[in-house]
Amino acid sequence: MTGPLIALFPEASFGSALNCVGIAQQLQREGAVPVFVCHPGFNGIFAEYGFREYQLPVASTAARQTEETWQAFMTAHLEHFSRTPTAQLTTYVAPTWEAIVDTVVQVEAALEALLKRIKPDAIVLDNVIMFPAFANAGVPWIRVVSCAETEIADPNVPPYLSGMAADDPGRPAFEAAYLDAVDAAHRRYNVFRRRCALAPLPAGQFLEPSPHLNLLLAPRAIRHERAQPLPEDRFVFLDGCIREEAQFEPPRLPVDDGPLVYLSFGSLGAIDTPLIGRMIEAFSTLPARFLVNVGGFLEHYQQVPDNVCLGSWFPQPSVVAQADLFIHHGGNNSYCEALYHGVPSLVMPYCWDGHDNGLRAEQTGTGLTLRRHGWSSRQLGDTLTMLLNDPAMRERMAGISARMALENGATVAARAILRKLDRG
Amino acid sequence: MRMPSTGLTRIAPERIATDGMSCLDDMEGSLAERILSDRAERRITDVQSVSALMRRYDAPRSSVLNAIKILNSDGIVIQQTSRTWVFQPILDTPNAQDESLAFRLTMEPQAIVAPGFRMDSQKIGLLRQQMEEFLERPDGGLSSAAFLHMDCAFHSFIAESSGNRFIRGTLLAHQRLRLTTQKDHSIPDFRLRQSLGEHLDILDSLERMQRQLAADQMIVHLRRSQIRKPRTVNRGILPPGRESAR
Repeated sequence: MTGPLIALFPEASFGSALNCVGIAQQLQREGAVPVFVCHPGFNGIFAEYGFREYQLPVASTAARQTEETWQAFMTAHLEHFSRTPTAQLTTYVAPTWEAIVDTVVQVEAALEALLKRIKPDAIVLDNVIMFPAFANAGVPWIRVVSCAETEIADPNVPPYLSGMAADDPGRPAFEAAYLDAVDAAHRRYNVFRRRCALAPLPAGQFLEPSPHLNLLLAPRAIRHERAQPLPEDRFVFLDGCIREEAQFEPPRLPVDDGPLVYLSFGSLGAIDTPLIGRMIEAFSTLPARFLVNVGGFLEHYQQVPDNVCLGSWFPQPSVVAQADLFIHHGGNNSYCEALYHGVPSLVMPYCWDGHDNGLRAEQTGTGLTLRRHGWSSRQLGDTLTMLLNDPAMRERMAGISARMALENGATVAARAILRKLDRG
Repeated sequence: MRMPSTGLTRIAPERIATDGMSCLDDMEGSLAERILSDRAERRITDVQSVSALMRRYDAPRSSVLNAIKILNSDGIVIQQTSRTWVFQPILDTPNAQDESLAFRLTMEPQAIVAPGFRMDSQKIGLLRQQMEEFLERPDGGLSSAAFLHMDCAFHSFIAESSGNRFIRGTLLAHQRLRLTTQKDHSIPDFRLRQSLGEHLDILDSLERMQRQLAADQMIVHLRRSQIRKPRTVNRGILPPGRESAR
């Protein structure tokens, strides 16, 4: 007899996808049968880890266009990524919510049919929006909050996507601007929810907490003290969901001395080739070794310095484990991997929860932030030197890492899911 | 059921894989290897002069010319003018790797079904033993670099067994290029194991003289290896027309 069939549906970002791989690997060890519902473009990614995949049913023309259109979309938005979180609300956040709502509407009927075929015993939704087919599937659904903890609001938690402190005097203005910016998408989404027999959500909310189980990827070291604690029977905090990856052997570089620094700006960041190009130029003057994830854009780079190695894909957990410093965009998965391995972060946020995690890194002494634009080579070099030579931070990070390794978030997540199923 | 491996001497994966494949085999750390590595890492451009290479590597002319001779014999550089040499396309980007796999999908099944296919049984035993030992390693102990060596050795073995001399020469040259220049070969453990299992299945079919089946298995194997990481992803699927939303 096989264990429960659990369908995982991560959103179309590497952080979310690979976070779910960590949970699925543990579910499998615990005897469950994890399968993935995946966005077009992610086909094959989960199969490489040994999991069965079902493609999110989209029209074939939309599937074909996804990669190109997203590249065009992101290129058009590059200029917005150097703006403040408030300025991004109308230029980036609102159009992105519109696209997300479009996706939900587009796939609903086919997703419902797909779920009838898969017949899961439970659904794990690592996303920022509810797809009504999941809520209506008649099985428990588990929400994974793999973005920053700010996704679940509280007076003591900074407003989502704001990059500001919880007690920032600008908070009410940001919150009002957020609601205003997403209002059109939100109203359209609520109309659709009603059509699918789901209750509408309060303003600004696109995904309700699960009545069954919610998993928050928020390690203790960076967790917020909430004014209204979340009920423990439905909300479980995770200390990282690190997946198992292939062993990484750092390449030999012509200049092979000094600490190892890893740079990855996640799913979106690789498209900003001018920024990465500038950083590589600055790296050439620093006494360290740099591994730089440039995604699919290797062909944009020439005359790479002797202390830098570019790659279109790195087995990140294995690389971070060997790094002395991690430069990233503040994606929650990247930030948590840095914490898990006790590596300080230099956060250069683009958008979304990157702003929130950047501030949190500074508040908790687990890293520093640097704006994407307006830095000089000297400033970048000084910041890296400071992070690489801060014994107090290194000691703090080592303590965090040791605690996270003991708590093992992926195991906690898998067992919480299975316990929920046992109880019906 | 897989056929048992023969009792043969243990050889490290990194060795068996490269034996006799390339002049670069014995050049680890040599100037030729450094030049090729720098090109694969995009440290030097695709057109190079002897004097520029002498300056970069602080090497005498004779050493640079010798390195170029080695690279030229592997088809990695060709002479453009009396003073300049041009690197041929290498497997240094995701696009180049896609094209390489498409090329191999056309050629490798043909290598198997072409008349005159003949395998060296001792080499089969060695390959089989090597892959089985690799599969016995625990998760996390599988190195992608060692896998690449073993993978190139397997596919070179198929090429050199082919009865078609042109397919044989072309595929062997391509495997040499893979071995020396392929980047980004970090593959999850599951896929590494699955891929080696597919190699063993292909060898099983070949040893049973089921060449058409082996050729079909090769197609499946290469198609599974074609998976590429998305270049740009984001939340949601962007419907046509939405890209202009600002």
